[in-house]
Amino acid sequence: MVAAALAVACGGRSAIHIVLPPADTAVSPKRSDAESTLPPLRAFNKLVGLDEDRLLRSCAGTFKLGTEFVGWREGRSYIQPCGEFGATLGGIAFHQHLTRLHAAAAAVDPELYCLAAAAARAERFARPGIDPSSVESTMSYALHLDARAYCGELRQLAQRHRVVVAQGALRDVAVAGAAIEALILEDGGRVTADLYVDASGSEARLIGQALGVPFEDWSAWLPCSRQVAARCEQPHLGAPLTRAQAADFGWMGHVPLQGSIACHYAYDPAMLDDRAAGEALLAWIDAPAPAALTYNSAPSGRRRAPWQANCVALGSAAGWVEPLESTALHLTQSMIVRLLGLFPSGDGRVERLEYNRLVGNELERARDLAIAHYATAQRLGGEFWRQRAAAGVPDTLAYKMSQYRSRGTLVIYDEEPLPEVAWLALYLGQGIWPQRCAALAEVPDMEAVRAQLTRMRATIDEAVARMPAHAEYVRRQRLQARLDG
Amino acid sequence: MAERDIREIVIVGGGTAGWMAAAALSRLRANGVTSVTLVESEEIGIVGVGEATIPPICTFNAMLGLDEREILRATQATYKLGIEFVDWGRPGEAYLHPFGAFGVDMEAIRFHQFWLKYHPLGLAAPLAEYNVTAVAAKLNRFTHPNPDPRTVLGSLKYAFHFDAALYARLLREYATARGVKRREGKIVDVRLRGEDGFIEAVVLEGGTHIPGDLFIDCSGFRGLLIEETLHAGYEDWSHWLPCDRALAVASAGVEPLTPYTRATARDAGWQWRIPLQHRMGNGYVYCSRYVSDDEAAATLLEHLEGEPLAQPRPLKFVTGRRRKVWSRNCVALGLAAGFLEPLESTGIHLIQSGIARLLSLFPDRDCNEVEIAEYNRLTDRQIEHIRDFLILHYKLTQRADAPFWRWCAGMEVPESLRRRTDLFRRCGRVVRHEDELFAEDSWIALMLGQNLTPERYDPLVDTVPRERAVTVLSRMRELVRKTAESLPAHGDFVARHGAAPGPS
Repeated sequence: MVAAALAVACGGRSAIHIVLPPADTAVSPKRSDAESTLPPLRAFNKLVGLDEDRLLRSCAGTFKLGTEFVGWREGRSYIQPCGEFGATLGGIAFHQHLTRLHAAAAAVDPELYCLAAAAARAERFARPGIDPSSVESTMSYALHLDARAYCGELRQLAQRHRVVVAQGALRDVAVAGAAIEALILEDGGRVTADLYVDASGSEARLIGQALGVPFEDWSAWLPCSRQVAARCEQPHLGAPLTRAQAADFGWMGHVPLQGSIACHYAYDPAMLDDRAAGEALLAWIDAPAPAALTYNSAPSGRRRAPWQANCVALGSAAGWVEPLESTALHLTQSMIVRLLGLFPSGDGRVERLEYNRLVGNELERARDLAIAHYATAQRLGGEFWRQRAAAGVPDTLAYKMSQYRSRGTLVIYDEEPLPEVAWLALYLGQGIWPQRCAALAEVPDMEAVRAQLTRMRATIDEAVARMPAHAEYVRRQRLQARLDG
Repeated sequence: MAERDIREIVIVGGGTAGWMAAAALSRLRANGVTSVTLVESEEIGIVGVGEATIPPICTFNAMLGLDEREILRATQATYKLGIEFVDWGRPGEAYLHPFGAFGVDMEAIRFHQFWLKYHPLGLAAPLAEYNVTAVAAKLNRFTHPNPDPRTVLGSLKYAFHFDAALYARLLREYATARGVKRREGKIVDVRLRGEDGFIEAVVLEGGTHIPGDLFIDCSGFRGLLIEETLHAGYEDWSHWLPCDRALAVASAGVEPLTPYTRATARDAGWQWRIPLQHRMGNGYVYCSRYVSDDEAAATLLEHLEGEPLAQPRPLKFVTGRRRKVWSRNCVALGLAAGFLEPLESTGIHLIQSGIARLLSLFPDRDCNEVEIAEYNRLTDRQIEHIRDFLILHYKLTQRADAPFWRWCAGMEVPESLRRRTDLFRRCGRVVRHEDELFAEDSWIALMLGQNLTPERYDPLVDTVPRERAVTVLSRMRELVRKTAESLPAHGDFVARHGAAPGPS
């Protein structure tokens, strides 16, 4: 990903080498992996010149209107949408009106006022229009992509932009002083550069192993560092949703692709062994004949200084948060954008400080959101969930939650990776209501507010009815592509 | 829950802050529980902070449902597109801090980075020529922005110059028409509740008690409630912003009517020039360590463009902020909450954003610490960002002609500001924070306007072919120029949209 972005951004003025280990090592995506992305990736694809229709074809892509969280409150599910809940009424945030109605003992279902969630529940999809006055503009979308195929697209793109691929395992890293001097490959070849980008995943071959930058471990809060994944055939394409379902020792993910489903179980290796995890995953998958299971480890935490000397770490080499919020690719993208925005010349001291500050903050904000899922979980039993409840939360998160619980204030810090609505969906979905709505929300006539809400629902229902089924939309896209060329 | 609702809000002080608060809080009366009383004394003059505003004032007026034409007529207002800074970098230089954006980004690379590369090569015009707000200001032209953000005029932003005392009067009419009670009288005592130290009532001369659940301290610098009663404490920032006095005087208006404020550096501070319909507002903000009051008055009067209409009025202040602007059941607004000199016209904005925050975090009668914490956190962040922005005007001077300016150039600045200037000096990058009042373009205008030239431009600029970049730059400039030239003259626009009645 970074090679493609740098290559496009540098327009051939800098020489870029990428050292690719042989296939099937820890770094490269496995056959089973899928990417559940966030809407900003579409802008990234556009920037580097990856056509979305082409990606949908080559990466078995489907659309995503949000993530469905299942069982984080016993027996319930909610959608965290790529889009807004309701509309601001009289300058007052929509959720404040909902809170008021809820306090008045009305049954309120927030998803009915959210186009992305309502369409996803109906298993429908159409790309939103751009008219800012239309209800469709309250919705965004993201993509589900086959990870290997997407990686392949990026690689091709990078090579078209003359990134030099040095195939071969990295044998050693020559360090001089506090900086990297050269990469030494298995065949004895040396690669030298002004700037080294460590995209070696959690192994952090350069930033961690060679330069010794310490890793700050967050597993006390986010213990699901082990993951087992499988891909199974599924001819029927359902809702445009990623699913994250709470399980006995972690959570299971479900990403729909064209013709198949990618599933994984993220679990706490201290409580569950690999075999049992694999069996649990297979038992959960409701589809015939899954492919082989693949295992992977990635502890949540961050590198203290993701940019040290002449080495910039990106992706999980810099930091990792359990991908409950589909932040895996998103955080990598964000780091790339920050690196490009702070692209160094000279000694890079000032840029380094700023990069480390921004990336550090963003990882912490992503961490807080992931922890919030555990902190608000309401599950009946099991040692894993008892421990989660006892683990406590960072101060930054405690502050946020106390603000929401009191009067529904949504606190947004600097460098939040996800928009405000992600937090709101989590709270509302978990059935957590503020003790009281904002004072201003109590001013308008309640019947008038109800009437506006009814109109909002009707508008959303009509918009959903205009959309084709998700499967139908994807089929039409394929057909169109065939006709075009 | 209604038994915990605030029944009575008491606003202490009837200046700009007091009546802005009264007008906005009157909206709560519709809940059937809350009422609002404002206590003011004719004996106590009002300071009338800043007669120049910044674009968010339009949001405040819209929230109240005030018609713009009515504001123009009632407050002798003119439009404002930015501030011209004269003699701040080097004597003889001037630059504009316009509202609105410079140029358009290309391939996700910031516009000013292209400018940094091509201007030294003679392939780009001065920066301001890519900003339609700036070009319109220079040409003394004005119009409303285009609602379509993709158009050139979509990036135009504006605010007002107005007579703050008249604005307060307009809001007083608005508030009293909406049921805000006005009590005339001088407060001689403040009663605290025994169990929790909350303010229970203020006592007027003659013994009348005015009880309340929530008190808004708009009493000005002294902070009658927040400081004299609750001792919230004051953080002094005069080691960064050492000006501690001002002299204000109105003078006869001059043609043409400029759609911008001017701030001119003087030997021991700076002089403002704010054009209103009926007169010119002027003032000299200075540091008493470097100039006497008499000398300051002479300097001010010497530089007026029209006849002075009165004797200069003196003000004294200590720049800084109240440590806890919301303490117990008392929220301080305006000068009671802190003071920043009006260099960037932030006085009224700080009041307005305090009111907006109070409305969104409005408490119950027990004033929960949770809302207080968030109110104070956001207030602190905001005023610190603005403080840093103001300090940089002084720090970035190259004037060696006066001891005051030599001192400013050598001062230590806050770490948060140093990080920003380091980053900009290296490669022209700008730090952004959530909810920051002054956006990237404001920092760029200031830093480039006062000659903080980056060591180099963003290396990514080199990835866009020169020919293409230069063509786009020249097209942008041409479009901006043509658009600005097509606009009506500011004076004509004001006359058409809201000329105040002349003196009768």
